[in-house]
Amino acid sequence: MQPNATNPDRMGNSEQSVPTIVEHLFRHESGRLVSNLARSIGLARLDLAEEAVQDALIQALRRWPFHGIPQNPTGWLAQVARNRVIDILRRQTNFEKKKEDFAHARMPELPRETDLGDDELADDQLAMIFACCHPLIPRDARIALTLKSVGGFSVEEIAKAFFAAPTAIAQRLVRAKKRIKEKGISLSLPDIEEKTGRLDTVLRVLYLIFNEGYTAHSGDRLIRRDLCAEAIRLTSLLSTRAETNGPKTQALLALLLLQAARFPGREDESGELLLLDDQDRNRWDRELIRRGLFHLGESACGDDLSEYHLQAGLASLHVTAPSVDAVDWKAVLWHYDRLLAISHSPVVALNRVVALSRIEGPAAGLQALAQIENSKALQNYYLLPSTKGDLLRRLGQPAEAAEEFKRALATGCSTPEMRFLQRRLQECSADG
Amino acid sequence: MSQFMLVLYDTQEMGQKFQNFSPEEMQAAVGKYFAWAESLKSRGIHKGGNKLKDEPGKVMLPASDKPEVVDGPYLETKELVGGYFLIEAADYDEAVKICSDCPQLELGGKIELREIDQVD
Repeated sequence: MQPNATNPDRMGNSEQSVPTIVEHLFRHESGRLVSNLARSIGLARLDLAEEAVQDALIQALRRWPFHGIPQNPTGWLAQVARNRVIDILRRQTNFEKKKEDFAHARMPELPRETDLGDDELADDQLAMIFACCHPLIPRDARIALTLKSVGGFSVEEIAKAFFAAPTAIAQRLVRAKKRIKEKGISLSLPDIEEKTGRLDTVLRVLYLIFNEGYTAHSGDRLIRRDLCAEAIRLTSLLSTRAETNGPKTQALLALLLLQAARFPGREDESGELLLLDDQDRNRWDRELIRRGLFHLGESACGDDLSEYHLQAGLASLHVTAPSVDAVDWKAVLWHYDRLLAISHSPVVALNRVVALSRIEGPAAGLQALAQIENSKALQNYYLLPSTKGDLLRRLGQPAEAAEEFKRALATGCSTPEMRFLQRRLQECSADG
Repeated sequence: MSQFMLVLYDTQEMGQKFQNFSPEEMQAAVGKYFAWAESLKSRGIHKGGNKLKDEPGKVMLPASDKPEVVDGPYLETKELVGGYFLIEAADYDEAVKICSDCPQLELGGKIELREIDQVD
């Protein structure tokens, strides 16, 4: 029963047959093939493309355990999916022919070769991203449709990531597909005139996908990490084509890479999230930082200083500083001033207060805070009382600070945030 | 050492599961089969196996004049032999143990074990 190490046949066998499939191959191929097939048979038949690809993956699951991995797994999947499309179309055509008595039932041309070039597949996927983020697709369906059709995520996975009911996600997808048919949305890259507007919606969707994965309020952690990786993958894809590249694409790519670089330091041993001040900066991913800074440099052309530019700029200031105290807070403040001018967001204003207090002290911070305190959007936001508490603590008013931390705890925040606040609260009681 | 034939039945439940699987879940399932087969190979007890085609085969039935040939078994039937493996094991107990971590079961499928009757 022991493996016979001297048997050359067996050794060769086991060396060859350590079968590993590239990570996420099925998911990525699913997205690539759905885009490719939908481009061949028309986006109106997206359901059919999805069905064929699902069937191809099921075939792989049922046959590969016996046969092993084919020499060219992606080519294998493409071929099986394509055959499946032809099968289904043939059956449908016969059916419709009988029912409606069509004189010519048309069979669309499908590319014959098994191995599609990466370029071609990338084009198909880019066209699919633009279709999924089309202005005529309901806003709330764009993300789900992009993740499903381009990313190869299942309805369940999307629902998990967004903490939503699978039926709700499925309904969004149905509505989006209906809209595609009604409006005759096709798979093509936008032309020059419409490029800017449509690229903006695409970048927004990718930004939101990343944010959903990055922020920590709810949902399955593994899937959320995958969302971030997918947003980076698709933004990188956009940056490879003249039609979809530009300063904003580069800025978004820089932002996502610089944020993702902090993933390794964001959690403690037990997997709980750490706040920026507590993170071990040595654990941040140097390679992602390097790539992020490169793209930030690339984004600095043209005269558009977008939100992505500013946010990437902010991220770069944090990741390049050796410690929190070494952060160039003046530069941070400059970025928040510009960002506030674009977005008028109270959350940005609150972050600006933090930067300001690092430069001019807690009293100046409190003064600035007084101007935004009553903003409705901040009323249930734990960072408002938490920031205020911090400023009061620094001013030497622990009792008042403690009140603010208690208020922050009452707003309902995540576990690591709560632990942070409780720690601060204890410090105040010790001081007071 | 005896040889056993493991007949892997794909059930309806399994088929439905696969329909709803995400690409990621399918890849994970393939990986589990590979890991299982790999452990048999590394122990030298993997003696072969094949997938059977899904399209209905033929079933021959006796008849008074000449045998009747019909199509089947059909995919619509509750279970379908997906394929088989040949393994080596000391006895049924060991063979059962080997099969107990085969992903087929976890995925809702069924395994039938039959000892090969070898010529003495």
